[in-house]
Amino acid sequence: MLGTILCLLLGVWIPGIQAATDFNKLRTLAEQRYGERAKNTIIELEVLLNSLRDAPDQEKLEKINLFVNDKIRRFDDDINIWGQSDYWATPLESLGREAGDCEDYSIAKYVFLRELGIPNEKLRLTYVRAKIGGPNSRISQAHMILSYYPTPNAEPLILDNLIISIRPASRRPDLVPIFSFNSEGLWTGTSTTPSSDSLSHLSRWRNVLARMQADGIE
Amino acid sequence: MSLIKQLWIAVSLLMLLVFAACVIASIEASKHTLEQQLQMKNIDNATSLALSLSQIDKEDPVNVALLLSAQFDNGHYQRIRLVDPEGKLISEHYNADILPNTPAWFNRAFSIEVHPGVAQVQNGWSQYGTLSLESDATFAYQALWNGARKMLLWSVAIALLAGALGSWLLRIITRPLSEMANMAEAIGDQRFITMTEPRVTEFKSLAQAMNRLSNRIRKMLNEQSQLLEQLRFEANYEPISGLMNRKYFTSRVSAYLDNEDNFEEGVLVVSHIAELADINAKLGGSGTDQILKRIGHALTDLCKPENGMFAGRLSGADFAVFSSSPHNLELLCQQVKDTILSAAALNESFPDFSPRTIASHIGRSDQLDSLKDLMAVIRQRNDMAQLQLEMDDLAQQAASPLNTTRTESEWRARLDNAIMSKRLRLASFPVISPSNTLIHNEGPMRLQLEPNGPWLPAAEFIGWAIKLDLITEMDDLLVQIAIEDLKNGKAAIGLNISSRAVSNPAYLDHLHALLQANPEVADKLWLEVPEDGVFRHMEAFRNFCLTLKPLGCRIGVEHVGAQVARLGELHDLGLSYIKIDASVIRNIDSNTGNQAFLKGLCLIVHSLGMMAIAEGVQSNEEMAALPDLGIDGMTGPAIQPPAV
Repeated sequence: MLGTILCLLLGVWIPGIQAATDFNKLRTLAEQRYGERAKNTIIELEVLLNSLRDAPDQEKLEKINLFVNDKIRRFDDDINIWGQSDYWATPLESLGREAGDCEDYSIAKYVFLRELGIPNEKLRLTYVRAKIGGPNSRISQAHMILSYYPTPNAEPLILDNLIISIRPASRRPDLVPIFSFNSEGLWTGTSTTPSSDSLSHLSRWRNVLARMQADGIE
Repeated sequence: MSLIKQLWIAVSLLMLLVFAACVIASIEASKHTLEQQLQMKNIDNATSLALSLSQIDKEDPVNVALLLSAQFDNGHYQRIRLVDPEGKLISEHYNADILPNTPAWFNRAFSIEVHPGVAQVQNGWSQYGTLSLESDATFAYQALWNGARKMLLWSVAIALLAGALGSWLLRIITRPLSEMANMAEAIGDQRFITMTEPRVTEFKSLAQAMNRLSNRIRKMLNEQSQLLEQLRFEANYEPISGLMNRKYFTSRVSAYLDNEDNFEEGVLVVSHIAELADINAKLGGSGTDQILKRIGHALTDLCKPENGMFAGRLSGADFAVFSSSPHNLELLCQQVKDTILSAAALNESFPDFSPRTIASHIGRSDQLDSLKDLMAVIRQRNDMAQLQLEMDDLAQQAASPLNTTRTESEWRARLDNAIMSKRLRLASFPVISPSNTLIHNEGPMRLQLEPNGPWLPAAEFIGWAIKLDLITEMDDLLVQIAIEDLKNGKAAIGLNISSRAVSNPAYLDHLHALLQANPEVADKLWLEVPEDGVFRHMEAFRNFCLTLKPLGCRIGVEHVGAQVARLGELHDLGLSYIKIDASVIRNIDSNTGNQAFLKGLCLIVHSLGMMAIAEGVQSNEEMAALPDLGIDGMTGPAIQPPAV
């Protein structure tokens, strides 16, 4: 019972059906935590999202990809931004600080596209090995991108922050997919929502989803 | 239902609720933790298996099948399922045999709901499928079941301990309550006892109130009996000397003469002060009154030590002393004379003053009229020696020949024999109510000294029985006979218990055991103790009542009359009845003084919850007058058993 109340208070409740993001809350938090600029970014985001509601998927992908890559200006390691070796930031944190790691870009894009009504099964957060400086480079790096599958068996489109333009996977020879995931199966049902567990008991992925909810992003 | 029982049930119910809530809450909490753990395991294992599948070469489906089998066979899974992006099944492993060995109802009540862990499998950039994985939850049910059982066991153990502790505490807390219940019951029985005040505040005020009630009633009773005593005095005593008046003295003596069970022979001493007129002339009225008062005091003091001895002023100049036990005539005669002489203290003014005093044996065969004759004789005759002789002759003739002709050893042999062969029985004198129904039959002892001999009343052998220490055996035997009679269907029996028997613990034990063994007749047994015995052995009598009353028999006091002022002391014994002495009843139809007294006495007796029974009813006139005065029962020569 207490757990239920707690989780309602924290807003850690992600139902299967999309609920609208609470922009008021998001705005207030952005202003409180990061100041005027962050607030304006959120207002821009709100305007953008509202204008894209009825747009085709392709347009949604492009505009969101652009917006996120633009607003998270600094691409850096988590250790420099957050003081932790691997920190998954919520979109609010990333937009607020205007800095992020590869997964922060991908998470933000994933969340905003979901907000725009793109179904879960079309989206994958994908761990990739990225060859820095082209497909023949010997230097590779752990990286994360967002893949978009127009149909289950189609070739995905890659939303990346290294190469800003959206390209099909075949045109990204510098990336080798390792593993992909989305939020499917994470929050099904109600009895297994995090409830009384503190966020520290959740996986990074679940943890960031929960914190997002607290920020007002559904 | 008793308060303790109700409290017990209430506490038990509460504890049951609390424990049930505890057990259920704790099972729920455990269940939740287990669900969390299983959920995490599902997600993690699904993710890691999907990761492995994403890395291998999936051109050959055997690779995929092998990996899934290896994971499924070596792990604890209910189901592992792989479907392609279009929802078509690629592979499924399912363990149908998993059945928890916990009771089905338990599994239903606390079902563990865990969702499968879901992860995506990639084949390069393209989607290969969705993996869903469910763990085996049997161990969780087992753990839950074991935990619940352990908890239940502990709960029961703690509940038992708490129950024991609780009932102990309850008993301590409600102890004053049961005392108060006893007291309330006692008051209901018109036993006005008091109790020590408990420390619990609520109980304390209640106990105080009840004690106040008891005390007030006791005080009222005492006041009433004092008043009664005054009435009795005015009706029966002569105001100047404080001695019994003629009417009362005669009634008392005749009550003895009629009482064949306790009286064999007594002594009557009469003294005549011939000089009274001269004294009055010389010393004046008040001087004479002083002398009479002194004489009265002295005679009262003389009689006081002996039970059944009393003095009266028969007329202006005639004094009398009666003793119900045989005495040396001359000695008693001289004692009375000396007492009067020294009390009068007339050596100076009347050196020749000498009361004329004679003594006589007086037995059951004597008529009371002889008293009148006696006084006439004393007044007329100066020849005291001659008179004495005549009277002694008279007494000799009147005395029973048995008394004088047997020796001690003969008595012992006969009494022993009579007891051995149980030649004892109860006589039967009816006690009836004014509406002519039988209350009980008074059963005085009768004994046959020889087989087929006459049945003798107690007075003829009781002296010897006491002397030879056989009386206890006879008392015991008598109770046995009474109980035997009652068991044979006889009507209720009133049994005389001597004060000697009352203060004999062995007898009391015997009686208690007999009554306990025959509870069905206990309520038909009326036990009565004479008044002087009751007040002389108050503690013993109290013990007697408290021991026997709970067994259901009725206890009463007989021959009540001389000590009504102390009647209040009997308030807390729960007596059932009193029998009022024949001396009060004698000529009650014409004696207005005694009528007032008897009326008051009946009032007190009724307010103590007892019956008032009149003894020695001799005439139909008495019988007619008694019910109006409040009498509930009558016995005596004039009373006939009601026709059946």
